[in-house]
Amino acid sequence: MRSSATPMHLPLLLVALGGVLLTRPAVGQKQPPAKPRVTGTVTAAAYLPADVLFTATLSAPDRQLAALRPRLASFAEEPAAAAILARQELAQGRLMLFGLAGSVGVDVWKALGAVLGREAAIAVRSRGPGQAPAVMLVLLPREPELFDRLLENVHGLAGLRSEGKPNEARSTVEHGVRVYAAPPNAFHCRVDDALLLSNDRPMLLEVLAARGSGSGLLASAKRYAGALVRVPQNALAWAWLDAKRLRELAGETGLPDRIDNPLGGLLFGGWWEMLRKSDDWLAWMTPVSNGVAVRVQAAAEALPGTHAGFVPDARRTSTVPDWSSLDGFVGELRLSRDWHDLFAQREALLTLSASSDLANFATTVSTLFGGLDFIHDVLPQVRPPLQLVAAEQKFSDAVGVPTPRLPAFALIAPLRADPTVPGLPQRLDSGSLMALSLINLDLAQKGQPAYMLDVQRHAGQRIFVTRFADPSATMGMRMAPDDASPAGRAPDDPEPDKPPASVRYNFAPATAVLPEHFVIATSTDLLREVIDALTDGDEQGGNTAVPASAGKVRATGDRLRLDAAGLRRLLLENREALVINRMLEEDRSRESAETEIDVALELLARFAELSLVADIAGDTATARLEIHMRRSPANEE
Amino acid sequence: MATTRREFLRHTAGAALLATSPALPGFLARTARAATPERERSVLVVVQLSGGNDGLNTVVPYRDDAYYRLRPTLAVPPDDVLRLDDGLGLHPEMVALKELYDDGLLGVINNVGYPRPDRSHFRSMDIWHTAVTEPEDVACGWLGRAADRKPASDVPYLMQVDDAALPLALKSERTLVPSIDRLETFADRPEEAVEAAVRAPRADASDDLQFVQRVSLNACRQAARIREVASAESPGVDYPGFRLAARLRQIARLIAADFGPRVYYTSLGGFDTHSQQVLTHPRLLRELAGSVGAFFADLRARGVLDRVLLMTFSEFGRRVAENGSRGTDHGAAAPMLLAGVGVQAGLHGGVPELAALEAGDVPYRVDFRSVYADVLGGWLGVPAGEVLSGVTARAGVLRRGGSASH
Amino acid sequence: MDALRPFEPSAARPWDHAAASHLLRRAGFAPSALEVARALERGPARTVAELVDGAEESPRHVELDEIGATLAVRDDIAGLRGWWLLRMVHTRRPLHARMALFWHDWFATSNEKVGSAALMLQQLRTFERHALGRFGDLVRAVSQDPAMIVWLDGDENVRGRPNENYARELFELFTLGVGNYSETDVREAARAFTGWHQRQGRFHFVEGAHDAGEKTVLGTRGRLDGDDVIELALRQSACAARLARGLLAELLGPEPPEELVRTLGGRLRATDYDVADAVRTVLGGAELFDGRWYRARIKSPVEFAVGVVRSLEMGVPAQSLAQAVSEMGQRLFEPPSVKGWDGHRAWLNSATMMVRMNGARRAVQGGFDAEALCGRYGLDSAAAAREFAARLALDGRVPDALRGLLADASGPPHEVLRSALLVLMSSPEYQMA
Repeated sequence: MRSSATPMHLPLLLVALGGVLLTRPAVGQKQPPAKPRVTGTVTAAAYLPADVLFTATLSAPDRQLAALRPRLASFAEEPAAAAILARQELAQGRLMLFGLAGSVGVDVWKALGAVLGREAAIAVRSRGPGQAPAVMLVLLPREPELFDRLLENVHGLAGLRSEGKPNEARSTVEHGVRVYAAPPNAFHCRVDDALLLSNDRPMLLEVLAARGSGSGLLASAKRYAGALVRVPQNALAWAWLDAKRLRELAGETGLPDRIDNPLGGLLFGGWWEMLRKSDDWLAWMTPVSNGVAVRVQAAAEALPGTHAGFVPDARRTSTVPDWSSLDGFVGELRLSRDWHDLFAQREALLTLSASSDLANFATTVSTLFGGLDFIHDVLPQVRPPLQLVAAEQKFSDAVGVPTPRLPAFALIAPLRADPTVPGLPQRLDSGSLMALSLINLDLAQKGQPAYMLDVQRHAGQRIFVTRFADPSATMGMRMAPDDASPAGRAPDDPEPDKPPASVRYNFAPATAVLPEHFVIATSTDLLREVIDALTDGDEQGGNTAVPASAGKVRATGDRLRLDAAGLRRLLLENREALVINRMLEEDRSRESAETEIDVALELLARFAELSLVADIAGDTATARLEIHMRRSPANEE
Repeated sequence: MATTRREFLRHTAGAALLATSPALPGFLARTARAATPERERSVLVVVQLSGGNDGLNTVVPYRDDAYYRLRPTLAVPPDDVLRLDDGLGLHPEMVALKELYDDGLLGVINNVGYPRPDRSHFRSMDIWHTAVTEPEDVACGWLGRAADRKPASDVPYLMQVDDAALPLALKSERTLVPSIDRLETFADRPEEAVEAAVRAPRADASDDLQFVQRVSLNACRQAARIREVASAESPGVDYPGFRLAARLRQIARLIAADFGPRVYYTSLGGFDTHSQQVLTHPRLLRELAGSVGAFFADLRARGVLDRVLLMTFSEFGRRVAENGSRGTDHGAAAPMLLAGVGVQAGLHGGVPELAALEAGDVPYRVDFRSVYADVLGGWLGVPAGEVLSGVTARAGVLRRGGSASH
Repeated sequence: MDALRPFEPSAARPWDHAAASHLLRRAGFAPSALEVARALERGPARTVAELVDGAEESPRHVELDEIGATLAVRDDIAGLRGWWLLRMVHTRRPLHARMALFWHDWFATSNEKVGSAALMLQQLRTFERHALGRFGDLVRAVSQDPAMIVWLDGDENVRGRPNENYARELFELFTLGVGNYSETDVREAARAFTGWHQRQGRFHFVEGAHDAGEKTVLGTRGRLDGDDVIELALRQSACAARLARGLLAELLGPEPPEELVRTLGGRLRATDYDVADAVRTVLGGAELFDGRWYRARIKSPVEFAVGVVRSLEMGVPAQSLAQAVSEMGQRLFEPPSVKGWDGHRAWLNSATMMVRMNGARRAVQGGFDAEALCGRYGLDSAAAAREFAARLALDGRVPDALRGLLADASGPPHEVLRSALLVLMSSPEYQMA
């Protein structure tokens, strides 16, 4: 009765298309050596005005498409693709493309390749405040003849030409070139070997006028050319943003100088400062084995002294193990910060309210860790990088499986080998115990499931662990049986014997103070594994002074790594929770929610790993995103 | 104690009948409203300091040796104190409030508390919210009960400007208490066609429909007024970048826009300073003083200074002796601040008697309910005895015949 | 004159669009055009019968129903709030949904004290199970409902130290009303409920805590227990009158005439408190179609919001629906006190009104698919769209001044539909049911 015309999430669609594009043999290796970017034959930049805010270029899109063709064709037959392609708006476009291709007697792939050509670029320019921006698309066909035949058919269909002659009412000749106007406001022209398409007539005419003189065009703009030399020859695509002009346009209302959030400010403050001050941002994509790498660079003056905590001295940096060897590894986040320095500079780095929140947080932690002064005692002892790892966890039968089911997390803070505070390990130890007791007390007061505290030994280390008491002793945490089953459970619940339990059972905190690390984990199993990984090399060497052993690296910069298989298992375990969320928050039927989640899971099966490495060195901030695909789509489980 | 639902329905219906004048055209209703007597326009702004504000480091007994002896690391040095008289002074971060004090706009009531103080945050906060010290199940707060004494009206009497849950103090038997954190909720002005449709006269409208029409009209008008006030922002007043300042600024706008509520309620948290008090407490006081100072400058600029009384309270003060973590633990009596032209400016309630501590705490000399009684009876025009179940003693901290008072 | 005699359409009181919409609003939520068309086709008697007997639930409702337990296990009260509202949006048994909500107000229990989504859900299930059943069964079930026991301190009610909380509200609010019992009755009844505890989310009778001694309640002496007290309360005519008044205020409008209260009360007693019979009598009675009850009630926030969504046949995210309803002053599972919500005029002040207007705007301008609706109902001209909007929102009974405003709108039909609905759904008349 009701139309649930909620559009499929755009991100999902992008992921889907991304998945298709990336699942292919490394394209770059098969490609002929690329031409130099700036000089030589005509590039798309020769048809764009110099004062664009943003431009992105695809290199040889026709060849990329041809290389993708087998993969695309096979993908199109899979259920995930079927679900995407069945969408009305896509189906219409497909139909049109088929018709068009047929009209000139080529197949649809060929037609699409001909349209995209040997280079395709898009650029955006401001039309003043409050106005939608001007956009221009440049296509450089490799086979102009075929292209023109296609174009002629489109012109015929759109009524721009009839009987082989241009429709004079809907086109004019400007600078010797015929410019067509298609409603509501699309203008295009064929010039030399290029097709120019824009929503802004003046921009189009400007380019046509400048074409002869060669000045005022992006190809000859110094800053663009200067940036472009950094793009390697084998780049599949690149993009450039004129941050300086953007700032000028934004004026007072531009980027605020600080992030109004304590966590955000400490995580991204250095980045924010670099991005805020850099004149242009450059990004490019290159093929890597079974995937692609995207590198984003922003150059600006080096960070001011107040921001030194964002680029800690590499000599103080601790080594880190290869966390991906953890059982059930899902992901890791590594942050290189000098926390003590950042805290000291908080008023210079954060907004008033954020710095106030941070101070509140520090006193709360001090209170929780009874007697331990977080700022003066703890922070100066912490070495970079701070690490957060996530791995799957198992749940005991007594507790049941929480919903949603989350991975276990561990926070690893390297400590100075020579603490400036006497008795720090002991104090951290007793502080952790006190914190656990306080949290427990709070839970008990709120009538929530409480822990049982225990002290154990692992690998020669004392560890504090917790486990949950029998949940049935806690009022109200479980449903009365007559309501919990059978209707309350999805038919495909993987573990029908275990009743779903409260989300809180995901967190059973455990801590350890090692000679050079402080670790907090949300499960005892993960804590033990982390301790093993941290002490592994040490035991063999028997000496902490030994340089980074195999599997350990001295790490600078930030890193986010996600294991697609781990992530997928996680999603699979929480499929029902995700489906429920879609049913409620997008008001969709179970069937449509399940389809969407399953499509996402299927696409995720094509990925192997995603990693983001970010670093600020001197005057350049670089972020490198690498996406690796599986060699063959996995559908185990 | 409780009115029954039926009695209460009767009461509401009767009151509503009075409030609704059938067939009163829109413009007449507007005129009637514009003619609301001045005394009906007094506004109370409550700032709750959550967590237990350290009273002794807020209003410092800088001549008392015991203070310095019991607080070796936390005491404010005598020379730093912003002196109010020769015994007490404000914390050095409270410059803006010292200025209000010098302008005769600030009253400091020391040693406010209640008998047999409770040191649990929750219990003590409940006591301050309900103004009932005995452990009873009281469902409504003192301000909520005050609202229940007012005739039914189509404008809210109480409003919370905060992102916290509705405090018990505002819980009322009869009225819905709106809560906003951002003014944007109300800044969406209805389209012209909508306003016109609301305004259009109806033939044979029932009493209830007329009521709804009046409420709708009010809503449209207030939305328009808020937008007007927001766009014609007085540029002279600079609020500091604190969250409390942002909230007080919204309240100033709402008051200036005649939004209607007589009581605005907001809060500032983080006062539970068990450790490293130096790190947070001065900053909180700076936020409090800076925000309130800017608020009063703004009220003055908007020409509504004489309509507003601001009151601060906290669930308890803190112990006199500092603890081993350079902090202080839960205590008892503490100062309340009252600001506005209606206040008897100056110091009330005496000096904290550190020589006569009760279980390590400052003993109370002023019952907080007597301050409530002042505010209810002397400022909001509500019979305090009814609201405070018999407590009628007044602290006497308001001026008699203050310009906006009842 | 029997005001509760069945409604017979006549020239003066025809079974037309306005009458059908009026009935559907009172028996549920503002209906979609499809629902009105179906009611018109079936006539008043069959429509009422179907409302009371309940159609087969929609697949979407069935699906949603199944996930409630999962939300409860997560102790996700906000999730349950949205889930309940979304079920109201998708139900084909709107009267049952409205009655469950009515009981939630009647036996108002707040999660602020109960603190368990699982218990609140269990209580809601009880309301739903007995939504149109026998009131006696419902009172007995509620008296043993774990959420209610936590809410009114049943666990503290033990022999020798009776806690009167439940006994008092049972008499004052749930059955008799003030003036129909004495303080002694409350004290004695509390003794009868001693030992009625809950444990791990289930009713748990603690023999040792129960006072099995003699009590005198409402004039009867004996070794009374809780069920006996409930039985004694139900026997009082005051109980039937109180329930009759409540039902009439909900279905007919505020301050129902005492004569009607007496008649319906008598009927309730005669049928052993058959709620379905009482509701059928009121909804199918001639009185409901008397002009004075038309637009006589101010919609509750739930009625308003769910009505907008249902009548526009749109999809809606559960959380934002719950958020809007809460901001309008009706936070489900957290009524302000054991007295429930005051309702009617107390729903509205300028702030809550503003939230209603904003909500209507969001729905009309953003949420709903105007083009799809135009297609579904063949609205191919501005005039058709205008007329459709007027009927959908205000039964076509649009004040003259508004008609003029609507005529100003121009453009394609779906645009006209949007702008007309915006004006109509923000109008004072739309706030009335």
